[in-house]
Amino acid sequence: MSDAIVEDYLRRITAAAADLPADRRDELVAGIREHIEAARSSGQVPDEASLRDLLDRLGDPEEIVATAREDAGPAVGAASTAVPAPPPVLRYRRPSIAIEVVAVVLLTIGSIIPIIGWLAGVIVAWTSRRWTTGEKLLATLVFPGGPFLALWLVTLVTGTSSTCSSSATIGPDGNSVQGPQVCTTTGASLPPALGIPLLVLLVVAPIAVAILLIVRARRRADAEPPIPVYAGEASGWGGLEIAAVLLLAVGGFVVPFAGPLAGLVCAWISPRWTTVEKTVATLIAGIGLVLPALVLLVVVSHI
Amino acid sequence: MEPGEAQNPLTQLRRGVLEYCVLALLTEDELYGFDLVRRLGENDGLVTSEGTIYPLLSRLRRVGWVTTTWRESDSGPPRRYYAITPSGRHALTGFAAEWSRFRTSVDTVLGSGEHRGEHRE
Repeated sequence: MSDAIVEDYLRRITAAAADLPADRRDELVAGIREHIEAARSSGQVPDEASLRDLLDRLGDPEEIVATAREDAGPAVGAASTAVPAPPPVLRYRRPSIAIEVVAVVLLTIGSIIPIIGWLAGVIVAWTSRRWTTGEKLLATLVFPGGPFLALWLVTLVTGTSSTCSSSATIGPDGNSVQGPQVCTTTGASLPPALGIPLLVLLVVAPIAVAILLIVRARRRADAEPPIPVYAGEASGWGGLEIAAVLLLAVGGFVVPFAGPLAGLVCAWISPRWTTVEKTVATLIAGIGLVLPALVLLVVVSHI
Repeated sequence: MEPGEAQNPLTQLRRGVLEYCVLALLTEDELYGFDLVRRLGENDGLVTSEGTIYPLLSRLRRVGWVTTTWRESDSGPPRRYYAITPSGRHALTGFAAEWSRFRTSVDTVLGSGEHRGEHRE
């Protein structure tokens, strides 16, 4: 209904401007259309009444075109440069929540790289427009370091906390006699009854938060106006982009370093991705580069 | 304000002055059409129909006082941003000086003629 009102208004301007040169007419209609879309996407036109009010304030199509007609005079002699017309819209796509997905992946799975992976997730999460400050705090505080840090810490604590030594002595018959077992506890040792639920909580809670945040981001993204896809830019995904993601995600495990680097190149030469998306890809590439390096380090230190 | 009233005495004057108001707004920052119109609209009596700003912007672009660039917006379609050019700044400086003199003179003359003016209450 509201679209019909807008289209009708724009048609009236187009009709009134029939005597203007085509490029001037197109520019005028495009400007007014952009104005209406900007008002709508900023949420200032929630209903039909406010839309009519917006069109009222824009004014009578005849009056707008009359202004355009008068302008023909003073502009004579000025350099007439062809206005870059907006490329035609092919179709609309639903807004992507790539940033939010990357944030959540880094906060959970990314925390496998101690501190850095999780920290990258926090940074990405706080750039999101779709989460409230409360939700961003939730993402940050459940739990600092992410599930993998929790896992590592708990393993570390339970692994080193209780060292039991028994003083074995050789008895007169040559057999060893087991002395009284002495357990020394360093750090906080948790009984399994407490430790295991805690471990589950530390791992499950971040995943639950992740799912909640993704669901909310998706819902809010769907409430946003669809994003036009212009002629010349095909879909957001082509062979190049799929290759980039694959190389970035798993390339590092197949060919250390070279894999993610190739993915990085693929991502940055993509004509379809925006700079933000490419930056996100670069962050992921960081993980793909650091992780094999860590594995390599561990392997080397064991030899 | 009566819509469509052709005889509004300020219509012509407003149009001529408005383009310099646009230039003045652009000296601080690049703006896109909607934002520009909204800022002009914040001033009482400056804009009667907001839609007439667009032909005006088109003219400013054609005379080379502003340039436009398409930029991605983080909500909705890409936007056409307007930026003032050096010649636009030059034109604005010239206008600002003239306008100051003009305004003072008009006020003086209107003021001196007030006893003759017929004011409708």
